[in-house]
Amino acid sequence: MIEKDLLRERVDRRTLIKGAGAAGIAGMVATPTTGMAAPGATSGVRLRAQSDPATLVVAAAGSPSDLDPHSSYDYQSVMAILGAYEGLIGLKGDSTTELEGIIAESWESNEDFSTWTFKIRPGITFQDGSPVDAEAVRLNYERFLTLGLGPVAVLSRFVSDPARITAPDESTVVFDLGSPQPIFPLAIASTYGPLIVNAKLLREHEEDGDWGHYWAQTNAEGTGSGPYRITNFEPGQILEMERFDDYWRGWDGNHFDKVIVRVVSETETRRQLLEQGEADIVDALNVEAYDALVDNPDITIQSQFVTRNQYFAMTVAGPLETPEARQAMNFAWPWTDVLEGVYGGRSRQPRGPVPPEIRGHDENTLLYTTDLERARTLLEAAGVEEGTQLTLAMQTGLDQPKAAAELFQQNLAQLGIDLTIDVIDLSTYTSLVYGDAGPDERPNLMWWGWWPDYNDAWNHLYPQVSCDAQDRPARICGLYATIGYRSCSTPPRMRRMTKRT
Amino acid sequence: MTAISEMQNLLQEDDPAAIYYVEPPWVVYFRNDVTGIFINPVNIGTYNYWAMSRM
Repeated sequence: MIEKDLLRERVDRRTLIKGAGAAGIAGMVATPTTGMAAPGATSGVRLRAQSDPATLVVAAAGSPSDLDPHSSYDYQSVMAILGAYEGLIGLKGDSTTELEGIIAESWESNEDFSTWTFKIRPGITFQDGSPVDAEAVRLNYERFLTLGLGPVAVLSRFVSDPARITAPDESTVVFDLGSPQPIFPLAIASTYGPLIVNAKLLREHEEDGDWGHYWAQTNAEGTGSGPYRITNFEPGQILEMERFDDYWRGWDGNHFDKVIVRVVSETETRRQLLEQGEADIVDALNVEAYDALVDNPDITIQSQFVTRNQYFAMTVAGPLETPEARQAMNFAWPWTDVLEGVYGGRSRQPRGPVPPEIRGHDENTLLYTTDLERARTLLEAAGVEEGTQLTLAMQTGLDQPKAAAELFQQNLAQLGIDLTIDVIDLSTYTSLVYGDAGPDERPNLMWWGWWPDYNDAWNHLYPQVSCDAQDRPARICGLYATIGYRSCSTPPRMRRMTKRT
Repeated sequence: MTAISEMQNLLQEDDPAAIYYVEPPWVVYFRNDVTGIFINPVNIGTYNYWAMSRM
């Protein structure tokens, strides 16, 4: 499931790991300034007649890959299916902590937050007309936990046994978590996983006990709980939705009757379609497109720091085996040149692995500066001699990370370190990242990125640092495994912390 | 120091796992006649289609 999607998707960490064994891994993304997309995707076509105001057209850089909310784990799939599926609760507007009821009209916990009770809003129906009642919600979560696919850890961190989720009456769903879990509602509000599907209907499409998962990856007839019905899905090309007349919020007021998500791979084409009014929304443009659109009176640009970061993971092996060597790499990084010269001064230097928008961010974490002399001293302490060769790898299409790496290459050259930059095709690169190659066989530095499923530092860090999932495939064993602490050889100190957090 | 803070310090400074080099903003571009678009820092890249409309 993962690998086949990789071949036709822009790099998206959620896509990479969904279905890989449910490690609870959060969102890896390609830089939104890339524009890689599905082969064969639309290019230069008319998307919407400008005389059709009731249709919303999203020109997406990459294609939705999976319509099953219980397995889809890439933002482009979720971007599409959120029209067709809703959760019990959700984040309110642009808040990362304030929640609002959706299918649930209210929710509460017991005194110690170990039991959470949700009241289901009356009168909601799935798109086949069957009721979204408490039993349907319970069955939905039984399906989600039993399938155990990509985003399952969003829920299984708190409750893994479906028997602990009960529906004592037609409007009440109770989660008995067994221990205090005050942030449980944030997880239930995640758009990755806990959306409500018509599990009873999906069972009619069941094959080999898959709860209809195979069918639901590309079909959604009658299964949705949200405002739009998915009427057409051609992976790599287009997804179309039309309004569900019986949606519980109703259609009074001004709404779109139809939503089209069209895959348009070329960045320049997406920009042109927006300028011409053929597309209403685009993302994943580059700095040049931003500069071209910023003064366009017909276009609005919204820009906001979010919960993601991007990084070059370092292999804990060879020249970079010691902490001192990896600290030296950070001091050799051209921080200002990258932020100003490559990212146009519109991006932010991370203070560690957890962005400030994530609850639990520590503002006291070190903010590196470029200090080549200090880097030289650290390299000497690490026994890394002049003439050492390092390799940095990334997949194709990442213009800004590549430019940043080239500046880094120049700094390292001043230290006598020869950095080779390997730009690798997408499928090869992702196979390398998630493959079984040991640390000595991997590039010394590899590009990557991340965001959490919900607003919680532990949810953000766990999949990157924990190797609790010892019996799971190495590729989802966390960042330390990915970068070189292979076979789940997370440093003992980190292992202790992941267990007690 | 909490465990979460300790992990951040470890990953960034004591035993760096990576060069965490950029936190870019999420940027959405849309036609002026479309309303109801907002960026949620957690639900990145998603839209509430029902709440959106054309002026």
